[in-house]
Amino acid sequence: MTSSSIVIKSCLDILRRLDPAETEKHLENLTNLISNDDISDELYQRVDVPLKVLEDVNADDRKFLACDHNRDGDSHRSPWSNTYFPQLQDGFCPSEHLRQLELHANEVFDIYRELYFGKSTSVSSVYLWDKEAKNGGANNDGMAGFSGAFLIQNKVDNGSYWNSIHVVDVGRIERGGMCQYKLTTTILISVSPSDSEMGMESTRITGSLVRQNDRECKISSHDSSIGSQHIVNIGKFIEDVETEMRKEMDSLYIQKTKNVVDMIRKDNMKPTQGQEHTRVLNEAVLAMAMNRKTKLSGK
Amino acid sequence: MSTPPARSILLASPPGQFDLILEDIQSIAPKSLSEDVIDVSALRAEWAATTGHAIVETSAADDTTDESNGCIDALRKAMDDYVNLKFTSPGVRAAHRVKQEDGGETITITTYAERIDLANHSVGSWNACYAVNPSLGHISGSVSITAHTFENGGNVQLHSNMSLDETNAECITSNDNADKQLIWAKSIVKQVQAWEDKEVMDKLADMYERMNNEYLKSLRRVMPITRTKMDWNVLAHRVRITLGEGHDKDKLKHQH
Repeated sequence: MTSSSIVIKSCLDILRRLDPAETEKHLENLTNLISNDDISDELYQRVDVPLKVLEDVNADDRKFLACDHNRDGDSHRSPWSNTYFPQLQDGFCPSEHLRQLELHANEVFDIYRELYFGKSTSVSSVYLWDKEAKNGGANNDGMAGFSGAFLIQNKVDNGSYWNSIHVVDVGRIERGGMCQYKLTTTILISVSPSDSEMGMESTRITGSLVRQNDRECKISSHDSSIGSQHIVNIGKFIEDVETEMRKEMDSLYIQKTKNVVDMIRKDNMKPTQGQEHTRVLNEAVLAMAMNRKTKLSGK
Repeated sequence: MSTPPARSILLASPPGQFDLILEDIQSIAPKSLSEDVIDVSALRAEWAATTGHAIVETSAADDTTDESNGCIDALRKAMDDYVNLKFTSPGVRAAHRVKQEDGGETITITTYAERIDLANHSVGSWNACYAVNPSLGHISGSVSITAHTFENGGNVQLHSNMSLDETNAECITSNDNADKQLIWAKSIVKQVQAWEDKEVMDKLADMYERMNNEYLKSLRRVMPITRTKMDWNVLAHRVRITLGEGHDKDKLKHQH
């Protein structure tokens, strides 16, 4: 292992121990410790932090999401107008062919956002970029692969938030029309009950969860719809993975934090919901029996 | 001067992980831990004091060097029983301290318990502090809980700080007889238990019960309201949008 990969490994190890809601702060602390720009850059690429929301004044102030994948220098490209904020001359842009697909992806991903996330509280953005051709030449025969970031943020009034960061790598369409998709998904959440009646001034669950998945799908390569077929394949893939990760986040991870607390302090032997239900039923049956008995003895 | 980065990171260490993070920092930037930058043992002591962990590190014998009197002794005994009842599951390390402060005006009770299971990637801590005014008959407190699970690409944490507002309690003086002091101590611990059962554990249980169908659902639904998965074919949506929802046409403007 090279010394830089040891440093990266140690940084990632530290970050998986610290509060995920403070990753951004600790990432800055770590880059100050490292004081090596190349390693810091790699760390920023490998670690996801909650997405930032910016506004595109060239598209009726429509909101878009900023992350490392649409950044050039200190500016971020909007998927709506394809311009950089703050303004940047010659900022990196996808090829014309891929830009058309990016518009398509943004349109359809926005519909997905509305179906699963709060319509008025969430923002989505999709960014696509061309992969470097292996032979160094142009690679735009329509069969070439590309990469993309599919992003959603939902932030609700009480400060709770959800961030989905899906980075997809689309392979070249092989003979037989098969295409490989590699999806790396990061979910970042912070959940606060914040009900005043609960009296929990400061209680929150924070989490980050990363999963990598591969899928192979068939693409019929005879018409001009290859792009939209990619979007359908990627979309279904993202939908499945995100739904599964949402379930895991609750049933495995969040509930495990509850088990930790229950193990530290023994519970009150409070009946579970099932036991409580049985108790109520038993009492009702008993009351009915007593009632009948009373009636019988009264005769 | 701003906080040195290594210090800021180390003080944020979850239970049981200070030394593991220290090892990592050592391999990233050994110089940041040299003596003139950071006094590591002082920092570890500071971390242990702020998290409450320090209590389980010192032996109970240290405690008895404190001034003691009938009330304090009675309260220590009652807390021993309570900690033995509630904080003795396998793998749990727990301790409590009962101390006089403000020249005897206040008695503080601190409980710290932790369960460090690094092999199963789960750790947690419980830190409760109570201030009792024996002569006026007041008690107030706070409970801080952390839980951390971090296996297989996940890092999920619970951070909870709950304050327990001042309430009336029995009064006592050091002149009262031993029996009365024992009864008083039990009544104080009964209040502690009632708070921890009802204000802390029950509310946390309620939060966890509402997690899936309320809190997480407000952030990301499991299924759309239509109960069917998304149709990713954009043409189907364009037809719907064009026919039905005129205001959404704007979205298409950016398409071409």
